[in-house]
Amino acid sequence: MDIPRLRASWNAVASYGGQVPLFFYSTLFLLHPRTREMFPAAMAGQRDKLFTALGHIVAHVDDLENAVPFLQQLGRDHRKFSVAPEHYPAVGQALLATLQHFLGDGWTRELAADWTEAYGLVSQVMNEAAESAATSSPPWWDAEVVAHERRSLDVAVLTVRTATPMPYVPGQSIAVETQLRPRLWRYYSPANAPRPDGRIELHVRLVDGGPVSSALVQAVQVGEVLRLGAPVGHSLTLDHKQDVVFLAGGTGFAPFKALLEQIAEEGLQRRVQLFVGARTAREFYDAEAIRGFERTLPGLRVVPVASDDPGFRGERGRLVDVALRYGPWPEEEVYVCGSPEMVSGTCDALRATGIGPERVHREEFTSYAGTAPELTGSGTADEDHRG
Amino acid sequence: MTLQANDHRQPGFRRVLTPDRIRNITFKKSPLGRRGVDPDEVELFQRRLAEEIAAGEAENARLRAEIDRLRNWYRDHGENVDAVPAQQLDVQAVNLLSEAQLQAEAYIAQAEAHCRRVTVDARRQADAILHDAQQRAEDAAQEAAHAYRARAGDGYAAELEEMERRLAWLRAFSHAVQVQLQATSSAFAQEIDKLARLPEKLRKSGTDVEES
Repeated sequence: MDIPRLRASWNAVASYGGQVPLFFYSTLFLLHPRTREMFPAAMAGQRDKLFTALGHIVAHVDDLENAVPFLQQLGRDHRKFSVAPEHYPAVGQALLATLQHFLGDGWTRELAADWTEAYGLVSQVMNEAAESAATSSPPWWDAEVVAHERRSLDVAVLTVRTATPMPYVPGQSIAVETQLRPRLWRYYSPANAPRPDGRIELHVRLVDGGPVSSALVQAVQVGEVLRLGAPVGHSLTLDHKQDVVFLAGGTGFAPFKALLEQIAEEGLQRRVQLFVGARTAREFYDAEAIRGFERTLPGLRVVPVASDDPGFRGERGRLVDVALRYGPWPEEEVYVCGSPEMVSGTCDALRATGIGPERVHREEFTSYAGTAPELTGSGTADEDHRG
Repeated sequence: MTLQANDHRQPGFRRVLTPDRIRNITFKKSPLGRRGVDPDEVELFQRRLAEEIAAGEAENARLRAEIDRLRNWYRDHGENVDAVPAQQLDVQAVNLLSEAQLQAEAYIAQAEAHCRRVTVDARRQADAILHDAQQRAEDAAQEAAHAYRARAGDGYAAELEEMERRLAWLRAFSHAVQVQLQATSSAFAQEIDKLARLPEKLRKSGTDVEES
């Protein structure tokens, strides 16, 4: 395999931009019409993800050591889209046809051989990871909605129950699909530690125009069955004994609620500072649960912060600014969860005061280990994620 | 050579339609008193059609020659070009599918944008209603406290004033919200009525176009 040649050809093709993934998917669907049903109706975001993922793979093709965990995660993630081994050659065929089309005269037998070999490696790693995951977990869990509570105009708390228990760690995320919006997956964090009865609490904020979140907040009813993908992500999990500061924007409180349950069980004398942000006082949608934790956790201090409510008697302003006034935090591990803007703004403000990324925990949506970009289906941190 | 347009040929025998045959085809005249077509126009069309087919045949021949030349070149260079690939990719079909996909996405994006606008408006309206109700309640509470102080005289009690204040607040608040809710719900009911009348309209317009 001539890697510089492979990369040069990818760069040449990538310069055609959005046409390339568009051509790839149309080719795939023409050659293998049954693959179409694995994708949502609108695929614009999908096409960008394919590009990113392919770019990643091509960039690391000579560094398999690094690429393998990424590919394994991709392979495991794709099980929830009902991807089977026979789909890999179909995708390979469409990929080669696409490269051939855009490279024109630049497509040679040698290049075709390089790409065939590279894709063979990639699909082998993904396939093996999917197969080995299949021995320990199902491709997805069916979860019945057992309670649906509309807590405010924009926030609903759903309780779902999986038929077989889903093993996860507090702070992880799971992809959720509703039959109301087939093939659209969005990540949410369970708001409780795993329970023997398989109940999982999900906090969903309605994102204006977001197809999945609006269905989950406004339309889903008790008795409906959601699909949950395998849990992912280790950025917000708690596996140390340090004191912690939690910065929760809106439904970004969900993973912290699960972590508080874990802390309540672990029996350490850990100090926990929880800053809960909302726009107005009406939007503290889980205040009762928070009071419950305050009663049972002696090391916990809670500060509610309203960003846009002149009548609020507690702290007002931007969450991170208030939290920094309560500092300094020289030793603590700082956890941040909320909308993408809230998370990036908060991390910038923390860094400015000397709290660097080494002890700031946030979800990395494009990292290798976390919620990786996907070749099919849909997911990760797009418009529907919490916040 | 002539060929009758209504020539009943033997089944299973298909004669090739060459430019020459097209040019020389003759049609029977329609009987007197029946409508027909202008024979000059027909003849013009025949010539035109014959030319098109001749041109197509020439192009086909040229392409076949080119294919042969290329195939020979590949054979000479040791490439196997005789095995037909399992599936030929039709680039036009791919592009057609891509266009359809983009079209569908444009519709979906439009629907989502519409949904976003409606939600934003609804939230703004809800905020305004609440804010307005709170304001009215605040004013009414002030007024009630004022009135109580004015009439209480020696019997003034702070707890009673607070109670008056709260009662007035709640009354004014629930009234303001109720009025808004009523307005909204009757507007909503009207919309529903409109929708309910729609099928009726459609049914009627099926038989009677005048009705609209």
